[in-house]
Amino acid sequence: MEHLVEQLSSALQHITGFIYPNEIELHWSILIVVYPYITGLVAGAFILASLVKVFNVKDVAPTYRLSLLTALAFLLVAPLPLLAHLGHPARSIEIFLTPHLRTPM
Amino acid sequence: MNRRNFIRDTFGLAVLFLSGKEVLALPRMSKENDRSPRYGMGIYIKRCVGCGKCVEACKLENNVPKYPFFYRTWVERYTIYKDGEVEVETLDRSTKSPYSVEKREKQILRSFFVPKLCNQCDNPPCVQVCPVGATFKSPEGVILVDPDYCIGCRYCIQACPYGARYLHPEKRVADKCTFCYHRITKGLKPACVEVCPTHARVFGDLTKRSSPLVRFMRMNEIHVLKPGMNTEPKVFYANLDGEVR
Repeated sequence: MEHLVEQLSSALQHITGFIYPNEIELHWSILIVVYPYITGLVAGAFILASLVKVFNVKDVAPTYRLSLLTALAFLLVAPLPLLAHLGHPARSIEIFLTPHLRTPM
Repeated sequence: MNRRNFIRDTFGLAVLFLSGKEVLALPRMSKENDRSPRYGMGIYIKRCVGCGKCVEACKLENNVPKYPFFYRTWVERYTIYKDGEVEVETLDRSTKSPYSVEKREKQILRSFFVPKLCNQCDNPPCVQVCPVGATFKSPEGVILVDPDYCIGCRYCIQACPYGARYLHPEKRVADKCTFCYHRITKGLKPACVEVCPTHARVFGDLTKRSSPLVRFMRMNEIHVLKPGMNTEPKVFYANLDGEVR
């Protein structure tokens, strides 16, 4: 908490104009940005692998194994930044157990 | 079990589960009948002197962290200069005295204070976006958060157009003004209303003609914040200035 307050206090110096005090903290920050980045890597590696088998591009054949393994490896860690961002990661299972159907999330 | 049966059973179970949830959720919604009170708050802008007692009382009553980044209620000061420039700041007694007189270069046209808090919207965007349903509307129309259920995803904090929510840095869950639910259910007033030295805040039941809030709404020109958001707030401001955002 002390760390967060220090961080916010220094952020406060750079604020010009007015902002609601509760909104000085940036709520969806770097971890949320990292998630689409990792899924992008997964998609890219997977497309590279599919080029060989599906579209018959023989030039990228040497990367086939590596790109599939890359896709798998990043796929496994992709949800981790989202979980780490939650206040209570252990409760994330509630989204599936008791879903609230009207939320866009 | 063949494939067709498996698909049928899974689908059936899913439908049963979801419909069961809906049925269970119904009684809570229909409890909002004419018997239960609907609480709201009225604020006289002209009476607020910006002393910040309400903010202090709220922080003490509800164990809100004593830093200027976490508020259930806060007071803004609007200064409108003669050249039309508007300056807004949040008053915080822990950093500077509300009565400190700074030298202003420009001439001031008018200045006033606006206490802000959760508007306890009748059509709350924060409740709609919660992925687990941890935040809900109580039978009295107060929007509450279940701290043992909230996963801390901060979606509701993003969704609130009034900036009334924050992530509690120790509990790691969303936190907000509850109208001091533990007090109002015992017939007491919220802490901020109780301590206000100028009676700038009025608390009451919107359904009772005799309540101070209904009188407040009858006697004043009232307005709500961001009516264009269609959130139907239950915090009403008397003589709200057009500059207030």
